[in-house]
Amino acid sequence: MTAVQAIIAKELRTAFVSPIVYVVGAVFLLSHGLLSFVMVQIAGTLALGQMQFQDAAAQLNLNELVFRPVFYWCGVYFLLVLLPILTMRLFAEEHKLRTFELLATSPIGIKDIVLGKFLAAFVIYLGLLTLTGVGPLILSLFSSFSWQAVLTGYLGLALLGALYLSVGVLASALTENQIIAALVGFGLLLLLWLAGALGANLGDSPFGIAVSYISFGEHFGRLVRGLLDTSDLVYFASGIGLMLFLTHRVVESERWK
Amino acid sequence: MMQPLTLVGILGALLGLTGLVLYSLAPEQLCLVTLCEGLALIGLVIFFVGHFETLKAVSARRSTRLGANTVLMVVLFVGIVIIANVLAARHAKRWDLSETLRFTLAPQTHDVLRGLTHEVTITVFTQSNAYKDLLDAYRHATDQLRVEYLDPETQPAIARQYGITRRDTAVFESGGRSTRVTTPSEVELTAALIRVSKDTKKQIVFLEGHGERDIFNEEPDGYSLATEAMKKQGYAVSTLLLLQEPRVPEETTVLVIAGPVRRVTGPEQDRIARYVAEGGRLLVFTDPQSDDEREQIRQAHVS
Repeated sequence: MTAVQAIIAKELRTAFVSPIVYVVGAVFLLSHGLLSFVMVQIAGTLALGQMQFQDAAAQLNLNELVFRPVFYWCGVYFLLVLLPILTMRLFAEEHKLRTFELLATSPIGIKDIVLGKFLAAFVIYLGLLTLTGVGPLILSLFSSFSWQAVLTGYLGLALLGALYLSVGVLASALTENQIIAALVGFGLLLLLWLAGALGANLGDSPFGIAVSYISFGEHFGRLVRGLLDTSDLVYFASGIGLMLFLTHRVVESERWK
Repeated sequence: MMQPLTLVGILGALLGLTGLVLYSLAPEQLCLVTLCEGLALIGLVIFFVGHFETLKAVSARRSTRLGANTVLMVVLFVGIVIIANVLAARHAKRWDLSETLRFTLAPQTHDVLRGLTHEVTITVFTQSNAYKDLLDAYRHATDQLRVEYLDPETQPAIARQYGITRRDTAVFESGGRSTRVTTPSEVELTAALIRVSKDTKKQIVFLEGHGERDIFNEEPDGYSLATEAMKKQGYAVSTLLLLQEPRVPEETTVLVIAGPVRRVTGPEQDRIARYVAEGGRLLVFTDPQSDDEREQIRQAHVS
C-alpha cells in the first residue's frame, strides 16, 4: 500500500465515523432528488399538454428539460455550499489536535499527504454522484433520452466538484477553525463564480475574456450542454493542480514559520 | 510616540499611494504626480537606510529566504498554468456530444467561415443566450469574427443607433457593409455572413415612370419602409427610368415593377425582355384591378 493509499484509507475511516459526511450526503441527495422530481413533473405536465394538442405521444427533449437544469443547480448552488463542508476538517483538525507538526515532519512527503486528503474527499464525492445516478436510470425505464449528453454532464459535475474540493482543501490548510475553513472555501468559490459575471460585463476585450475564463461558469456550462472541449478539461486539471500546489506550499510553510 | 524614522517611512508609503491615485484621477497633472512619487521615494529610502541593520537581519533570516522562495515558486506555477491554458484555448479540440448536435456546424458553414478574408464584427442585441452557442462554434472555426453582446434595455442609445426593432437581433458588419438577422439559426447566420462578406452589393432596381409605387414615399402606400429594410439587409436600392436608358443596367440583380398605373412602352418592354433573356430577374407587382397591365406585362415576359 503506497503512502497516498494509506492516507486515503485513514481519512475515509475518520470521515465515516463523524456525522458530517452522512449529513452532507443526505442533504445533497435529498436536494438533488427533489429537484429532479420537480423537473420531471414539469416535463410531465408539458407532455400531457402537448398530447392534448397533437393527439399523439409527446416528443420532449428530456435532456434539456430535466437533466440540464438539475446539473446547473447542483453545480452552481448545492455543491458550492456543501463541498467546502466536506473538506473543512481535513487540515483544520490537524491544526486543532496539534498533530500537524507530526504530519509536517513525517517521512511521508507533504505531496502525498495533500494528495491523499484531497483524493479521500473526492472519493466520497464520487460516491454521492454515483448514488444520484439512480435518477437517470429510473427515468430511462419510462422514457428515452441521450445518455451521451447525461454522461458528459456528469463528467462536468465530477470535474467541477473536484475543483471545489481542491479549493476547500486549500481553505482548510489556512486555518485551525473548521467553520472558518468552510466559510473561506465558500467565499473563494463565490469569488470565482462572480468573476464570470464581471467578465461577461467586460465583453470581448482581452481582459474581459481572461476574467471570464478564470470563472468555472463557462467551462462547466459547455460540459453540461454536451460539448467536450479539451480547453475546458485543461482548465479544470490546471485549476485543481494549482489549488493543491498552493496547499502544499501553505503546509510546507508551517515548517519554517 | 513613534520613532521619527518610522514616521518618515509611513509618510513615504502614503505619498506613493497618493501619487498613484492622483495619476489615475488626473493623468495630465504629471508634474504633481512626479513630485508626489519623488518625495515618496526619498521618504522610503531614508526609512530603509535608517533601518539598515534590521533589514540585514530580516533578509538573512531563514524564514524570509524560504518565504521568498515560496512566493517565487507560486508565481512560476501560476505562469505555467496560464501558459498551459492559453495554449489549450488556442488549440482546443471539441467533441459535440449534445443530443441536438447544437455545437456542430454544417459543412457549408465551415466553407463560408474558412473563406472569410476580412474581419466581421457581429453585434448581438439580446437579453437571452440565444446566439451564444452558435456564435461560439463559429468563432471556434475562424479568427475573423468579433462578437459583442449588448442588452438593448441597458444600452438603448446604441440599439436606437442601429435601428433595432426586434428582440434577438444580430447585426453583421464587415468592410463597410452591414446586414442583420433576427432568428438564431445556423441557416440565417451563414446567409448573413455570405451577404456581408461578398464584395459586391446586390442591386434591387425599381422601374419608374409609370406611376409605380415610390420607394421614397413615406405615405402608407409608399415603399419607404421596405426600402429601409432592404438597405439594412445589405442590398442597394435604386430607381431606373428605362425610358431614358438604352438598356437595363448590367449589375441589376432584380428589376422590380411595382404596381404600374400607366402602360409600359414598347421600347421599354423590349429592353426588359432582353434583360430577362440575358438571365436577369424580373419581379412584377400588379394590382388585381388592372388586367390591362397584366396582359401587357405578360406579353413583355413572353417575348
